[in-house]
Amino acid sequence: MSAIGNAIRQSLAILKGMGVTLRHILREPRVTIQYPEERPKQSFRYRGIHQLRLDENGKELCVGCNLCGLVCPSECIYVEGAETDAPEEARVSRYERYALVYVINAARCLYCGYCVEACPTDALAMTPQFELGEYQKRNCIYDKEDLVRNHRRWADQAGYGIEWCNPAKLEEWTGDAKPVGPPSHPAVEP
Amino acid sequence: MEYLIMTIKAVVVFAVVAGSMPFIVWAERKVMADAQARIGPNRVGPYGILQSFADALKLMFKEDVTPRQVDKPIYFLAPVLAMIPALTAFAVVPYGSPEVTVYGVPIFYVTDPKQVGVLWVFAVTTLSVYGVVLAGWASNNKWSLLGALRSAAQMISYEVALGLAILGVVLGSGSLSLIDIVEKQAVPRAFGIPGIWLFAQPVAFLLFFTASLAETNRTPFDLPEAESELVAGFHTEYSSFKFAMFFMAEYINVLTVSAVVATLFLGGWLGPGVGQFPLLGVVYFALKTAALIYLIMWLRATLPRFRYDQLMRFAWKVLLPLGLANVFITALWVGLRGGT
Amino acid sequence: MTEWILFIVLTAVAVGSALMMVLNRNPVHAALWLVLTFLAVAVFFLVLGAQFLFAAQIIIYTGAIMVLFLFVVMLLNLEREREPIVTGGQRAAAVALAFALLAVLVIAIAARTSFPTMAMVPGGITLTDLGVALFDEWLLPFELASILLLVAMIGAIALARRRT
Repeated sequence: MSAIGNAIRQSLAILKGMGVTLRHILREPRVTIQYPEERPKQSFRYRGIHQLRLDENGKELCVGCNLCGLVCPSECIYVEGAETDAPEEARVSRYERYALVYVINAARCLYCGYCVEACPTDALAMTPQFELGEYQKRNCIYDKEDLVRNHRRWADQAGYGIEWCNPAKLEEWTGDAKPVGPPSHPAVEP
Repeated sequence: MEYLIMTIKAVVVFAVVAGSMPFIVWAERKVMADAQARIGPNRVGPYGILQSFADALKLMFKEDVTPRQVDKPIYFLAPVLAMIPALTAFAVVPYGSPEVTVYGVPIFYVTDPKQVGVLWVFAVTTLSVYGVVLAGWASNNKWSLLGALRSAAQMISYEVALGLAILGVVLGSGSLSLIDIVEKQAVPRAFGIPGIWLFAQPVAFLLFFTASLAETNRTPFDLPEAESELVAGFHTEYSSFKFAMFFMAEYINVLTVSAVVATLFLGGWLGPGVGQFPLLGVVYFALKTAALIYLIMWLRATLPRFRYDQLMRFAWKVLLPLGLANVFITALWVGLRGGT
Repeated sequence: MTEWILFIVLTAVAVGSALMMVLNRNPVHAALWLVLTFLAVAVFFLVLGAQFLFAAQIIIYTGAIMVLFLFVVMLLNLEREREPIVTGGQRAAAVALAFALLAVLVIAIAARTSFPTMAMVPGGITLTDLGVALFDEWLLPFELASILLLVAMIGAIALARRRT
């Protein structure tokens, strides 16, 4: 008798399962994003490709300290620091120290964001840019120029390390969430 | 002349069945997407309806990899053996009223062997196991072989239930011919219940449908290809067009099973108004078949795969006794009524 | 004329594939040749008008029994073409027995005075004929055969059970 009861219960379970699928077929909203036409909504701390920020005078903030390179788990950042005695107007950087060479290998980068955390001058931040496909591996290597270009393009977008540098946009980006700690360099319009 | 007409009809049926295959694949992808809150193919053609054609083209032009140490003749034979039985079963299925004739030739069935009929369907479906088993064995691959072994045991076990289910309908109809079986369902039963065997033989319907799913390796009986355990089961080593043939065989099987179930249990071409407009029969048949195809896809979206021991227990301890009981009761009923 | 062509083709296929089955070293290939033999025999039935036997032959022999054969072959003999150990004595006994069987068959056939020629039965043998023959005329042998099968099945189960 219990065998028959089991059989009935199991058959009903199948019907119940089919009911669930039918409900999904009829009512469930589609979660698919039609990617190239539609863009996914990213989190305000999204970790895309890096940017090297500039200050309000268009001067680089990076001091070439290589803390980012040291902390990088995949060792994909190469920094060559240099110093200059030139007056402030003639310098590329806001400081006497600046980065002569700054290279990130995006093919090795795992987008952990430690470099952004490590940066003492908040010069390094990340962008929401995730479309990094390349046909050649060498195109995945970003030099300083590329990274500054990233800043010019993405500075008004949220991204890891930059979200609280733009107090005007904070509300739009974060909603309720309040970022921790003040920025050492507030954001500037690109 | 008779053979010529039969050949022409066979070619037409082959073309229609093979031609509907891409749309069934597309439909399945859409149904699965619906059930999983996705959209499914929507890039190639309106609603992605041409996706299957694109896939077929891609598969045709892909490199055909033949692994070393396969058993070459059998390796090449297996996909063909998988496809042929599925197509051959259509020879005896009536897909429209036999009253529709062109120049005195009934056009809506290929042939109607009165003494074989549904047995032919049964016979060819039992042959479909060879494609799977031989593919698995010839590939010289552990996963493939495991898939083949499972398939062999599964097919043999479920054939029994399939046969017993058919027996219920055949006993009730008193004929093996699929046309006779359909015509038997035209007479309504008491209280205005339609005469289709679905209502008179619900157990046989469930048995047949379940066993058919198992015979055609559809979820929840897709153990031979069980991609989560066996990579791709029997067709792991197949690529390019040979893989496409297995793929086609699976979907043609779905179509065949649906058509046969529609004929045996849902009254085939029968429906309101068929008496006046016999051409409507094709529409009814197509609708019933489509509904069953949808049911099969819906089941695939719902049910998880059986475990192997559950599969065997289900076949021998549930389906077999049910089938025997059904045959016994049907025979008793037919006997007490004094024949069909 | 058509019948003769059919007969010759079918016989060639049946005998040829039977020979291939015996001569083949690879067990799976041998099984497949046997499948072809069965199919040829099934078509023989069809030609002789025994449509039901045709279907039954395909369903039971090619569809079920040979699949079981294949299953067992795959399960047991995974290394291909491994020769079973056969002693000379067994070989001699097998040859002797085969010839004895052949002799019995030849004598039995020769003892018959006439052979029914291969002819199309008009309309074929119907299911009704078959049912009447099995359940009326030959009821006792039929039931005995089923009991024999049942005994064999129970025996197999008993043997399998004892080992575990």
